[in-house]
Amino acid sequence: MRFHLREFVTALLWLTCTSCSEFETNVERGARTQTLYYGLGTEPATIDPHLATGLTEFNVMLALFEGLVNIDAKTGTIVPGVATSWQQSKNGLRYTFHLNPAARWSNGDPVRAEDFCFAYQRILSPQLGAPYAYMLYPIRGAKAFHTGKTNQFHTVGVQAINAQTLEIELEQATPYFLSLLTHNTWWPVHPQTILAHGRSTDRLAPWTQPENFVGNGPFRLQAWRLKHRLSVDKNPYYHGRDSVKLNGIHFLPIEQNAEERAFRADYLHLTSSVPIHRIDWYRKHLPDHMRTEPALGVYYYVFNTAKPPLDDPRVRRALAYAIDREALTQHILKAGQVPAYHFTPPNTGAYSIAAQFQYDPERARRLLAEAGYPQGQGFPEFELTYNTSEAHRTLAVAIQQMWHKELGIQIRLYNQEWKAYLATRQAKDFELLRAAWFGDYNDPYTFLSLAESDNGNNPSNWSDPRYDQWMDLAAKTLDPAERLSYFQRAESYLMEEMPFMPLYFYVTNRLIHPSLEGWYPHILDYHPYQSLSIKQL
Amino acid sequence: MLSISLRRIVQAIPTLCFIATATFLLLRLAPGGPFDQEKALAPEVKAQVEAFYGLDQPLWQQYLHYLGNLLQGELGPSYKYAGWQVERIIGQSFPVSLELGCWAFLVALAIGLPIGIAAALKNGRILDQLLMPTSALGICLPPFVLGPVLLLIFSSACGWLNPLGWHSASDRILPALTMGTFYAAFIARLMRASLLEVLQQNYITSARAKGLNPARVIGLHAVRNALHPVLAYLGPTLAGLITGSFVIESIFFVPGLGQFFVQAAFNRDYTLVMGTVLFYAVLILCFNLLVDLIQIWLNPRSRDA
Amino acid sequence: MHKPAKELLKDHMSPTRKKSYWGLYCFLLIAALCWLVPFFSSHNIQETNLAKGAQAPSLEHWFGTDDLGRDLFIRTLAGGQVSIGVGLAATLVALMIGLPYGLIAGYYAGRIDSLMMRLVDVLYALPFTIIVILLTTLLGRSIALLFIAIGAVEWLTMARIVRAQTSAIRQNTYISAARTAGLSHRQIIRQHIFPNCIGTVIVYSVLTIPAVILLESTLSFLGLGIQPPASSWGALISEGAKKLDVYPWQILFPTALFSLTLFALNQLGENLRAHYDVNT
Repeated sequence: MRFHLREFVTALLWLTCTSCSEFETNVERGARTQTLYYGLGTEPATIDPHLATGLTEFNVMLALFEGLVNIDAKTGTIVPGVATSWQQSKNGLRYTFHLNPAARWSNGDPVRAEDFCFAYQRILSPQLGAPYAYMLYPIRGAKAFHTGKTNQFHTVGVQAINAQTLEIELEQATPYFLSLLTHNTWWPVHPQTILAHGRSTDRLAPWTQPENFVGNGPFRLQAWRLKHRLSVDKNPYYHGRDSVKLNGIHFLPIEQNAEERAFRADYLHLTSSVPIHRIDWYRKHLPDHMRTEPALGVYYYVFNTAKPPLDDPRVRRALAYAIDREALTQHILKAGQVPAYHFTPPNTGAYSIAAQFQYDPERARRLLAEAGYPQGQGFPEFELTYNTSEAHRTLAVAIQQMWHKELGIQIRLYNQEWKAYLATRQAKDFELLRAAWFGDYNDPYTFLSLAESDNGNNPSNWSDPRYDQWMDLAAKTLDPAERLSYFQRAESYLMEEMPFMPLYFYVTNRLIHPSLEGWYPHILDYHPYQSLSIKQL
Repeated sequence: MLSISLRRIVQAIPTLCFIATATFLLLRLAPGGPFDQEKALAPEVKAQVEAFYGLDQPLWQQYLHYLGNLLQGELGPSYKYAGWQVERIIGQSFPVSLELGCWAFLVALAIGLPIGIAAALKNGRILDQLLMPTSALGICLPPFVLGPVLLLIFSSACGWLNPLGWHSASDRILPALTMGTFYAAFIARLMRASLLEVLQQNYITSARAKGLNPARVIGLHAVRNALHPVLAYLGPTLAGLITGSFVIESIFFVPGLGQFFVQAAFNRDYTLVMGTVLFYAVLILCFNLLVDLIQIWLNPRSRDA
Repeated sequence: MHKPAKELLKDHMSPTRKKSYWGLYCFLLIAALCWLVPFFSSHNIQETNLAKGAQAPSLEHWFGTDDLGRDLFIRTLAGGQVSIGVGLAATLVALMIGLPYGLIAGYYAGRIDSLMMRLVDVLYALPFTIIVILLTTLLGRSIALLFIAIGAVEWLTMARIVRAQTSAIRQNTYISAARTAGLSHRQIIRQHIFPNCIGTVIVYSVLTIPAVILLESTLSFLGLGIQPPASSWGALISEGAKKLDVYPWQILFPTALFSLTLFALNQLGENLRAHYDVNT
């Protein structure tokens, strides 16, 4: 029973060599077959447009569905989608959409206005528990239906005049309404497919499995294996199929570090992020492979304003002014993030706040002394809570040191894994909490509404009737300039009170292979697949 | 043999009940639930969702409901991945873990056994003194160090192998090698110690004295008898290989069950966690039974042990 | 080979046994470095210096610096405190639970034994690492919880081994002789059984420490181990592994120390096993 080591090693080498000889990298195969290899960074939790909440899911669904309107990749303007044209009534409250008669589902059925009505009823049904149903609240009567005040859907302002005409009535003037329509919550679903696998409000229905799925996007679902690959191929019934150059996309949910490794080995065309320690390397060696684009997101710390000494706005401002954000973005973050001296990211919907605070340790010390803690004496230790991540930790440690050095105070660091962190946030069981917010649409309201009294995402215990009033006025105003001025006032006041301490604005870093064409920057990270193609290098 | 198997199966039932209950309680005790999100759900929406999954019922009711489903063989839907049943997820990913485990097992045997045998045969000489510390290195280098190092050599530097994935045949090599090396070290040491002891036995000396071919003596008698302690170690090892592969799976992006389990715990995906834990427990119990049966078949005297 | 207590003591005293305990000396040296050097060093392990992030080894920073500009030499040694500390503490926990458990089960035999070992078998069927992951994920990450969780998993094997040893000793005639002579159960365990178990217990304990250190490092890889700003070898290694091709020194030194410690401990365990003539 001698073990034949020699034979085994030979077999192993042979196996390796034969696999190598027919070695074609994914990038090469992609150019040959017009197939995109897309690194998602994490597994999409679902591809049901009414249940999905994240950017990962959105990127996949963008290939599988199409809404009333699209965004042009190059210019970022609203262009026709399922709807070829639309009119707005004089008072701005009614929109009429004319659907493309050539629009089809991936099984050949025509896309009709009734499909949109069905979709809106589904997402607004309280039984479904759709997390983003509130995106549809601009529709008249939608909130009442969703919160259960009525169960008569005909009171909601959505109507199919005929199979090709859809009418939507709004609660009040919503200048960003058309851009809302590009969000996945507004997309149609195929009624027969959904109903064939359960009730329309059954979350567990397996209609999203590859063998059942029907969508109206440029691609259709071909295969899906969790943590392995989600593959889509060209939808032969898509009305714009002649202009779609890609033949298929493989979405690979590879995590960040492995993703970068894969990209370097020509395994992926596109990644979802770049590990921090690699950024300098790419800048130096392969600068045209890395794209940095501003993102509509802010990284901030939330104060629990009910707990002393954080109940004093002077203390909060002192803490904010004592942080050297330039040092943080240059030495720790290194990817081109923008130091934040106000809350709403710059150029959100043509709104930019004029008043900003500055890095001013001297002023910070004066404020702290005013509040009763000269040179930090007597200042009680408090705790900074954040969710487990190397980036958050690094930042927290740096800030801890900065406060110690400039203000003479000491804080503790406490990290929790994600779900525990969310529970802590919900229970408001913290003193200082790390947070981030990404805009749902390109308008300052999505950021500034966070500080409203009734907002469930505001764990700071801070509320102010004046602030609420400005936000209310902004919501009701038709005149764009006047509306923005209310936002300006609200934000200045917010930075005086400082319940949220902004640190930096996000950027999206991606690695993109030069053979991929048609990828343009967009603030909401919206990159329609219709414009993409792969060239031979 | 049959009576032992039956007895084990009967004993397994309270074991599994205990495991199911302990895991259930542990999961519910943990802070945070499956539907906590960064952009928090409105309270009414969250209430709806939790009612849909039965999470608003009292704990004992949820427990009984789950046990009831379990007895019917249903592991439930995943809370995190809407539209996926736990059985489907396990069914897709377990064969991958199994394959990886088997390859790693073969690698461990292929490396460990020859080293152990060679070291025992050349006991005290230079080869032995070289091989044993080298094998110890296998124990001391954790897989999340060995993995990236092998990747650096074979993927980044030479470009021979894919950096990750589980598609072509060559994708199996690095993960199996990384995982197998660790266990190879243990197998080498065990084999060496056991073979050394066997070689000193009377019947080996007498076989040699009789003039039998030394290779045959070693091969047939010594090694086969020396295998018993190694076999006892192999049972839990194979189980460990299959259940403990999550580090390898995350480094090499292998779509196995291990990755799911860790993520599911993070996501508070109750059903997926329960399903995985129970599945693994059943697996381990089966392996233990299998190894014991093999041992009895090889050496009937060990039945009373 | 089970000897009465007095004979064993004579073996301990024998000078010829001292020869190749380099494993022990190596381990003690590393442990001493880990505890003493940071105490006396001029570098502060917590002080960050952003401008000096991720520098290669130099005269000022022997092991280089990490991303925040912290000196890696001191951090590696301080990390050793945690890793070795957790290793010792968890092994102690395993010992405190497993030793008495195994002694009682092995000594009293019969129904008590089969019941106690049945419980161990049940717990054995739990997938170990998975339970530890669950425990640390769900119940928070204090360092005390960490080594209790690990110890609570390791005691099972300890109990099994002790029980096997006790059971074997118990069958000796001198035990029943002692019973007839009127010694109480506790006296017998203390005077005859326990001393004969020590060898096995020591060997296995020494071999458990590296296993625990390895387990802690695996947990750190998953983000569950020691929490920042403190660090352990496992945490340093798993972070460094991600940056292997860019900043190789960040993984090199912790891995070297980590491997050396495990190696030394394993060697010590082997030596002790040979010394006590233990066949587990």
